[in-house]
Amino acid sequence: MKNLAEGSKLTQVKGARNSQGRSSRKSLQLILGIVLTGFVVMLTILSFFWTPWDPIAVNVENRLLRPNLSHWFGTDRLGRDLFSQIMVGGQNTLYVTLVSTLIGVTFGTTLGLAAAGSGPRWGSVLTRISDIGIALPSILIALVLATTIGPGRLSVIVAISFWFVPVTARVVVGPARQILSLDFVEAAMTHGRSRIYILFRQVLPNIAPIVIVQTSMMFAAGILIEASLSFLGVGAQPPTTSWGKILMDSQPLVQEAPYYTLLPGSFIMITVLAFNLLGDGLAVLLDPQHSQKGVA
Amino acid sequence: MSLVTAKNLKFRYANSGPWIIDDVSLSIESGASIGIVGESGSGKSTIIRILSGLLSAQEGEVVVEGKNLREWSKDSPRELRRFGQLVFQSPTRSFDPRMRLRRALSEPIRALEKRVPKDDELEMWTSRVGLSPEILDRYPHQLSGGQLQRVSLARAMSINPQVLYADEPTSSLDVSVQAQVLNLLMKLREELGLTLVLVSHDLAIVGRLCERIIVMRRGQVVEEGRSVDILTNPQHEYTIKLVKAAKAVSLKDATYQSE
Amino acid sequence: MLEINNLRISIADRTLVEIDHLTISAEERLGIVGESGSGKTLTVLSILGLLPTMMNVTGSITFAGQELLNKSENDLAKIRGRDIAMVFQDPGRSLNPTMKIGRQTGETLRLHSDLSKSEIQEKVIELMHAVQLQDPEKLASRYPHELSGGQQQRVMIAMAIACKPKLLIADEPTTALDVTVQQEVLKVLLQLSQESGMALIFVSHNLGVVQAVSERIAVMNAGKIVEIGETSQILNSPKAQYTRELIGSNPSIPGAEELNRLLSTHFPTVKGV
Repeated sequence: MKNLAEGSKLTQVKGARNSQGRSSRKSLQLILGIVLTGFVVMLTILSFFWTPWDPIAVNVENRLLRPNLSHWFGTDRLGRDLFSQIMVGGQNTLYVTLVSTLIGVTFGTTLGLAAAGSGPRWGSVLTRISDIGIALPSILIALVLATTIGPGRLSVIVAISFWFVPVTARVVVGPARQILSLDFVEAAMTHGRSRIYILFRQVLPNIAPIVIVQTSMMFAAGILIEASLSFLGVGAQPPTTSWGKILMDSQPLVQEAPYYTLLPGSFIMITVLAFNLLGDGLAVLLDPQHSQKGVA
Repeated sequence: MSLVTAKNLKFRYANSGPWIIDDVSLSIESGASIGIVGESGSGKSTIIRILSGLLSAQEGEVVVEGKNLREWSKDSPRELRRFGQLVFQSPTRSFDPRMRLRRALSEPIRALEKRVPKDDELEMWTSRVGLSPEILDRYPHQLSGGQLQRVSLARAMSINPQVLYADEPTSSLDVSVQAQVLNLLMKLREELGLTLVLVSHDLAIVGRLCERIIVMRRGQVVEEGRSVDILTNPQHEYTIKLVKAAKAVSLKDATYQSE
Repeated sequence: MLEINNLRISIADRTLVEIDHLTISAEERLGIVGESGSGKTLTVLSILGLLPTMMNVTGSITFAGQELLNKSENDLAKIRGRDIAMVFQDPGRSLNPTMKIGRQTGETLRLHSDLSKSEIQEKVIELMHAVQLQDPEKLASRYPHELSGGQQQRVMIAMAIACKPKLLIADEPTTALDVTVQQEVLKVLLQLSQESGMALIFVSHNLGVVQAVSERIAVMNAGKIVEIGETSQILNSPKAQYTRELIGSNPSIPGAEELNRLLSTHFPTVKGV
């Protein structure tokens, strides 16, 4: 009917104006996020094949050189090129973060779906368990693990995953419950679909945007946690290097060679920022599609 | 012959909240068209979910074709679905926004008969509800409320159910579209010999589509009988109040009616 | 008392409302009926200057001789609640959830009169009686969420009539309510208007509800008044095609004759009593 069309056009005019203004700012965010994260990942992959200098080769004559054209980030106490170390360190950091994030997202999402789909009793049990998991700081867990099974990649992965799983579960539960309360879930039940089918084939696809965004955010957090753990000496052990370890080594030289802390530190910061931008950009990209349909 | 019988049903959500359904007994005859009317809090939407097997009552029992619901769950839970298809109030919320309508329409057949319906079968259903087959490739948000509700009907009917529960099927639709959907509902009912249970707050709709009316209030059945009796000669004081209030804002048949 | 002339409400280059002439006399009950998008809500919002700023309004709306459209916010604020009051569709959203009912109901009195606190309290109880709320003393100390929809709406009406406005505008006041509750609210509106000589503009998409309280009905479609006349004329001998369509799409409750006919055609197997 004519009137109804006019009425909804009215809403659309307002909505279009908003999204146009917002989206150009936000898509810049996404592009920046993709470019920066892509750059870092590329750099890390490149390090498997080539680095400007051999990161392990000791070259005492060139010790503690300031950043210059041949050593972009300078050199460390043993004359080793810092930029090459960053590149190779990325292998470890990103690997650990990737594995932890994958574990966190897979198990966390499953846990969250299970909590949402269970009755009130089991649902609250699962929520309480994840609350405990969130409350325990991974740093503590990592330290405990380091003293029992020894430091290294495995400890760090376990520690970070231990935290990622409940965090993801928490993020998933709310939206999952919301979807479960919608009529099409009831419809699926009238067709005879099982709970598991509904959770994985109907709820999960509808909360996918949230899970994707959560993944990139957690990745950013994971980098920081890994760096912190390595900084504390719990993570990568020599000769493997990681970003955190580089920072740890730079600590006693903060006054003498500030670039040693500042440049790797900035690199880490920018990488984390990049993944956060990616996450935010994805959030805007994936969610407004849903909210705009609601407005119209 | 009673197809679905409810005996002394009691239901509530929390373990110690108010009873949403408070000792309800009713009987649905095969081939009947029954209207359940009530206002908010009457339990009318909840009762059909219990009758169709979506919710379990804490007390009382539901008997479908002579067998208790519990026995059905044990023996042939899937067949029970033919006695419990629903059409929901909000067509947009009744469809998974990420599923194309072709898939959405085939869901009941896939789930119950464990087979994938062929295109011509799906197209038979779309034309039966007055829609062109090209809507099958669309997403729910691309259709209007009225069109979606027709798909919802087709979906529910696709497995040839014995009973169809319609929960306020036209309340979310524009007035101009309501009549079309209701007429479609009646047409399908006559064609397929369906037993229909229609829940509505609107006495005008229920009066025209149902031969029996059950009046509910605060989880209990307050009165039931033939529509003509309930609407022209209500007995219970609440029913009288309800009919009077509805008639006060109901237009008397105007001299000019448009088609 | 209220006169609308050449009202044009537009946004960008689209005209949303185009009313050449509309008047409401003192103590009159006028109903405005139309579907969503007909412009009925925009029209009444413009009377109180409540339109969104992005909309353009031209024309003239005079109330008791004063032109409303060029009044400042301050001047309009003096009129709102005191001379012209408004009640909206969803009382749950119009009430402050953190303020007790008694206090909220007295708001307009605090703003527009210089009654003392105890005098206001007395008046509030009086008002709640006037809108047929039971146990007003108890209700006054409750919070909005503790009241039912119908009670909330009656509180809104009580607030609206507190300063004895000359005109009450009600925009879909009963749409969100059950039919028996709606009945009570309509009764209250009717009674208030008749007893205190207050004019009433009742806006709704539901012609059945509008005709229950109105003496005259204006039918709106696409921003224009399509037909206006006395309620009985509109219902029994509508002139405009759109009015006829509107009447046709509001199904009435079938009478005995039609019900018996339906029984025999559609449900022949059902035994009669």
